[in-house]
Amino acid sequence: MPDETPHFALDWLEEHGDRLFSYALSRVGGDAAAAEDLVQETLVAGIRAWPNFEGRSRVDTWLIGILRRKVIDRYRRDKRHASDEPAACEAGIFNEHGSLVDVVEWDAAASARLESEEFARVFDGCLAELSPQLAEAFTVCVMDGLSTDEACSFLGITPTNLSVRLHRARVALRKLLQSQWFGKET
Amino acid sequence: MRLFRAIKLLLTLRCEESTRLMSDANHRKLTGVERWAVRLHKIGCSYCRKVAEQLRLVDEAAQKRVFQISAMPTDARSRIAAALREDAGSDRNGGKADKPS
Repeated sequence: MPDETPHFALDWLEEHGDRLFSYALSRVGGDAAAAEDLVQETLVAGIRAWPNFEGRSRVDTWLIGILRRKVIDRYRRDKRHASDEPAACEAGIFNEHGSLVDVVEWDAAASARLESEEFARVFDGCLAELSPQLAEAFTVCVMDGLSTDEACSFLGITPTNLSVRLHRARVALRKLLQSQWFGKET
Repeated sequence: MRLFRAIKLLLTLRCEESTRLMSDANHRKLTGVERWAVRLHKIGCSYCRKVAEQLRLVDEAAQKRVFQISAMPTDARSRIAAALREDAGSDRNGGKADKPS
């Protein structure tokens, strides 16, 4: 069967390719090759899982759900980070008394340019500096908008653990974005 | 005991706990004592007053990032299409012909 093309998967690629690619790109620090692999794996998995698609959501939402799982699997395979070791960006946020350090006024002009391509690249770079445990919690809750219950069952962690990770992710991102975007002189 | 814990929270909250509660507030309703503890802490802490707004911007920035759509490069698209065709050729059941609506 040389030409038994999965027409519908090619249609998915045509119709939802950009959305899937952008989603993947924003989770892998802007690495286009990694994003391409993730989209391909997602569509292949989609072909396999199609008989189980129950039509309760839109096809693109369903595909994003598959891609979300692929992204998390990728974070968890990431060998650059030891499993529970905090990333460098988590250091120096609080002092030994638990007080914040290094807080400066943010540039208001920078906050007005969050919809730019330039900011997207900076943001992706900052997200890539988080340890995978923090990145997965932050992306799933804040960027995908999963509820606490959904996120806990998806990631297999407790609400307390999720709360700890989200806090660490937010303060680390605050510090990274301060140095790379909001705090910079213009 | 509960009263003692509440008073302790109100009087001894540090930035680390104050920012944790600010983060939690995005996902659950804080208790009255927690809300007051953050308020009282912010009266004396100019850093936390700034950071409350900055943490809000971090979430806003992340959500804006979601809506930045970049076009998939043409060559990446062709490579994926080729891989999908190959996948259909190699897998008997891969080529289910019904197109989703």
